[in-house]
Amino acid sequence: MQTILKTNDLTKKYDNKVVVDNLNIEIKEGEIFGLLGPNGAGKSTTMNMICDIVKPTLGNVEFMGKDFLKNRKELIGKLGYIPQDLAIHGNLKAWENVELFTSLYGIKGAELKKRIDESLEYVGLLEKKNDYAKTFSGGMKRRLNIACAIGHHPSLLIFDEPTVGIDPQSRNFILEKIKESNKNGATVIYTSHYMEEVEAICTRIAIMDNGKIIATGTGEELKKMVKDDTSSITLEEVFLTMTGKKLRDY
Amino acid sequence: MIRYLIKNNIKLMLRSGTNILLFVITPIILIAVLSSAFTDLMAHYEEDTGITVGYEIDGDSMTEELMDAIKEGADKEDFDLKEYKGADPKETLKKDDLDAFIVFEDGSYTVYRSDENKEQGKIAEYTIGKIYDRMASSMLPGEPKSELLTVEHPDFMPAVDSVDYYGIIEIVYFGWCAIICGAGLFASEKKNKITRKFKVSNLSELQIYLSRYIPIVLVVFLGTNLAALISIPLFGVHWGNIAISMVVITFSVAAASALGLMVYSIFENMAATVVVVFVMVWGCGFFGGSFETYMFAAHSQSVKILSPIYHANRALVELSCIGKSDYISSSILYDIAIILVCSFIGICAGAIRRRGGKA
Ligand SMILES: Nc1ncnc2c1ncn2[C@@H]1O[C@H](COP(=O)(O)OP(=O)(O)OP(=O)(O)O)[C@@H](O)[C@H]1O
Ligand SMILES: [Mg+2]
Repeated sequence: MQTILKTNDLTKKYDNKVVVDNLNIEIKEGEIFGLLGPNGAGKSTTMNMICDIVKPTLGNVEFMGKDFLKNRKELIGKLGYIPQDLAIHGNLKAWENVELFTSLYGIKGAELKKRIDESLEYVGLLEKKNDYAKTFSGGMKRRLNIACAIGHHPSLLIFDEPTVGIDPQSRNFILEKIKESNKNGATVIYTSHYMEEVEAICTRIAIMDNGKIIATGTGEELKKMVKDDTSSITLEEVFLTMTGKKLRDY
Repeated sequence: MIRYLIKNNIKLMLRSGTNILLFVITPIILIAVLSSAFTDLMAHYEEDTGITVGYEIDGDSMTEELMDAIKEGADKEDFDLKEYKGADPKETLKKDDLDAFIVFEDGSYTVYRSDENKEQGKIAEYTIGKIYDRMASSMLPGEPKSELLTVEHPDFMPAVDSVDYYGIIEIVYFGWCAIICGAGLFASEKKNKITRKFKVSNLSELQIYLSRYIPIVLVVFLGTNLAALISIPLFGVHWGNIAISMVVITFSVAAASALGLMVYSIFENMAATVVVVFVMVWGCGFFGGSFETYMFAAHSQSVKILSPIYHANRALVELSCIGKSDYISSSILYDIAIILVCSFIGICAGAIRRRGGKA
């Protein structure tokens, strides 16, 4: 498998606080890579640096074998970023939201119309395409947020906690869709602090704490690091053993 | 590429409801209130004092017909004409307490105005000028009057009806508050961190700027021009030349939008933007005749011409009452300069802000 994304000593400091600390991760094409970590671990900051929303203090990102920032113009359209905070206009209808963001990648006319319907269909909102986003429930807004990032058919999808604050049905729906996208060829980076989710869909998991990756592997491998008998331990226990029980969001 | 962005931004602005109404309804209400409040004041300026004008004919420059017309016109406008022979204009002005003194020469005339009764002098000058022009052109129909007579027009301001004045001025003033129209868009962009997502695309800073600028100009353009059109049947505002007036208003709106957007790009905060823009626009309006009619305001001309609102006001008012104005081009050029400078600063401010990692 080819490497699609690689970070080299990626570091972010705010004032003198190191938020992401010399991060080196490598993601292969076709993976669903899970980034697991408590609140404030630096997951979103890492994703923002990968997408060039936040400039790293040090280090760089290689995407599809090229330095991302140096080849930004060519590569940016291959990224699909689903932000943790909903990025949709409440006063626009569902289809208008998708139109706005999909058109940013140079898609227009009949093709744009097709992509809008396709994206909405994908997240199960086609029937609601003419409804204002502000009238949507939390789960529907999350799904619309996803629809806004997939219309340009990106090769790497970055989901930053796409399931916060939604019910099990919506969550299950979104997880299924992520798996489906992956089957259709997209590589996925998925951040969360929900163990079961990550265990259910990710092919590889990295545990992040205080800006550092403290362990990487499949679910099984991570469990083995803590206990030989992997059947008697959950990923949550692994997580708590590795990151400690102290509250993080201080 | 930004076609769809512009389209959706327009929708966002229009859907934020009230602030669009503001642009059509508020000026209309203000025209009604201000014009009626100032009707008496304006009437005072127009008629009040019996205006007395002295005149002298140099040589045989005047035909009887022309003189008759001037006398008749003066009668209609309710002011007295006194003929002098061999008098010194300046001294006579003072001595006989005249409002103006006119010397008719070959093919032209010179107006002397009293320092004390400035306004009456201006009105007299304007009236005589109009009669003179009309007569001159009717004597030789078809020929441009300028070939027949060289009429000197010193810097005078015609008297204008208060409905016309305030009708015109309020619409310009509201056009300058254009940035308010963007409030709905900006609030939604900010709350939902939309520009953060723009960074995950090839959208340039210029495109982000245009995706805001063009919708604001379009919406305010529609609002102000609609208000201008509504003012005709509703109040009977005379625009003189509505097409040229609309061009002047449109440039004004484009400049106002650039100014507002520049301030917003610097602060990225609507409340701060509103305060700063209102103070600036109020200042320009204060010196530009938006509150007190500029012809009677005490500010010196050199202060007035700094205000872009003054240029637009004067261009439009003169279009309304004399059908032409030297201020049309100065108004438009001033607006273009504002558009270029403010857009440049606005784009740079946005780039600096976004490069700093804040979205
Ligand atoms: N713009 C900023 N200025 C200063 N500190 C920041 C900024 N953005 C993030 N931080 C800090 O960086 C740390 C990591 O934040 P980040 O959002 O990346 O965490 P996270 O792992 O995504 O957490 P969560 O699970 O809560 O989303 C936090 O302590 C946060 O306070
Ligand atoms: Mg986060």
